[in-house]
Amino acid sequence: MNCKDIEQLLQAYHDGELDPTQRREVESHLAECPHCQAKLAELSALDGLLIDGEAGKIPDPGKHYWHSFSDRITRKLIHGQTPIIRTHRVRSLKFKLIPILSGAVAVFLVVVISIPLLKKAPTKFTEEEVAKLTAPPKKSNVRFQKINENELLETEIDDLNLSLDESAGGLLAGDIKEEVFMAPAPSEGTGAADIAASTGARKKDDAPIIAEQETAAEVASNRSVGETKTRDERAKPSTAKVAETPSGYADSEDKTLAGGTAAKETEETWGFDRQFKTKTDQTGILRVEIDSTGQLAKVTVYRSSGDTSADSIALKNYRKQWEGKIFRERQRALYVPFSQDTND
Amino acid sequence: MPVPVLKDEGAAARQTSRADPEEKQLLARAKNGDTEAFGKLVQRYQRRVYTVIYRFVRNHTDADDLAQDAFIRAFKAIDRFDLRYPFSPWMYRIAINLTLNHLKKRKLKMVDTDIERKPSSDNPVDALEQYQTRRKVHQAIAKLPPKLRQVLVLRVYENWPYAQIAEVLEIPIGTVMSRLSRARKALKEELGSLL
Repeated sequence: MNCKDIEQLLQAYHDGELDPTQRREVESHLAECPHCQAKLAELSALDGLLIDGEAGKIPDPGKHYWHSFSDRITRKLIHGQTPIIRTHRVRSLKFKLIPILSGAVAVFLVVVISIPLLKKAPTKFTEEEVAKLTAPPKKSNVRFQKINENELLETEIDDLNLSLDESAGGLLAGDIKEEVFMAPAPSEGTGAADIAASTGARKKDDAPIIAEQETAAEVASNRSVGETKTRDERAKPSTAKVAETPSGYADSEDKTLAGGTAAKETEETWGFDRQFKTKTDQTGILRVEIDSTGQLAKVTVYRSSGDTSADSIALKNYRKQWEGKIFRERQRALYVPFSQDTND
Repeated sequence: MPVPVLKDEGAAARQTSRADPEEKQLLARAKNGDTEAFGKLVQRYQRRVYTVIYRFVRNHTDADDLAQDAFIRAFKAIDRFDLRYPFSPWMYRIAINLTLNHLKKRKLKMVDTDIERKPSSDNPVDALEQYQTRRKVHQAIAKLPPKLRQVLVLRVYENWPYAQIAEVLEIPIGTVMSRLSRARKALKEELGSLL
């Protein structure tokens, strides 16, 4: 038999389905033919990949599940229930009445209790009370940082689990579950050494993950000149802190960095720029976890850039650059956008 | 062009049809409406049926619902079951058809919730690679036409012999082989970079 003939039998041979005579024929051909050996190896590799890709075994639902499985079926057979992809159960009238009756009782109680209270309630509000009620809501004391649009990589606010209060022009402190930082991907010249606050590089321009502080004077000057400074003007600042809760990162360490400007505490200079809101499919986000000692605990892909190899490269690069360094943040999760370009 | 001669083609079928007196008794009682006897049959096949279904739907909730439904349908149709034939191919046929219909109705292609489950490796780079490989394999299998997919799943993951696949799906063994070959060829093209 030639290679073409053997190829017809190779799959059945690989699956152990050939009869002994044909199996021997295939084996004797394989012993002399590297081409057919390679074909057989391909079949084995493919099956291996499929099985590995399925992560081996199916997760076992557990002893209890198996123990009760047949009981559940026989119960359904006896009670005549058809379970097909659960929709809703038909309830008896008795069970249907329970929520209706309890609702009626609740309404009755509310009415009875509130009648005397309503009688005592003042019919008119004083001017002072009206003023209080109609006053605009107090400005939050959340401190927002100005963002240089050139510092931000394109990403989407929704992906960072933040809520944007458009009317206030900022973030709602209550919606922020954890501190969120953004930093562009490390590039040559702004590498891991710059990130580590412990190295003594405490100048704000050198610390991509360190919160960047602006003095009131800087803010004022920015406002007078225009919206934001450009990247060049600011001598490569490489980070932008998005927001923080009042009880969060606004500690003395920051004040030291910023020159202790108390005025900053209430400064709200936050503004989302157009770029920040623009979604780009090629932008991924890494989640960087810092442990209580300030060391890198874990880097994971929070959102894929759409290119798995780009994700992998970004992950490797960031780990390589940050491992062994000390971060000023403690027990924090940082979200770092990256793009396919970043990896180049 | 040689035609593959398979080792004793009837062996697998005969093995499945080998009379198990206890099973026959349970089947006879179930045919008379004995739910307890049917419950014992369920216990015998529950893992196998669940596993086959899981291979297609890739999540516990659907696999659980479909497995229960398959057994209930089997019980309701057991009047039509011929005691001279083995129970397992009949049972599998119900389960597989139900599963494929479910996927078709829901316009789903193997919804894999497990793909997100925690990777076994602690190394994030390895974990990411593992995740990516798993996702690519899953997508490649999901892309296969259902007829090719079912043969591939039963052969590669369930390790069923050709004869058993032919019996359960009620197709000739030659068709099993050609579908398997087409499925593997398609996957090789799709996953070539990972091989």
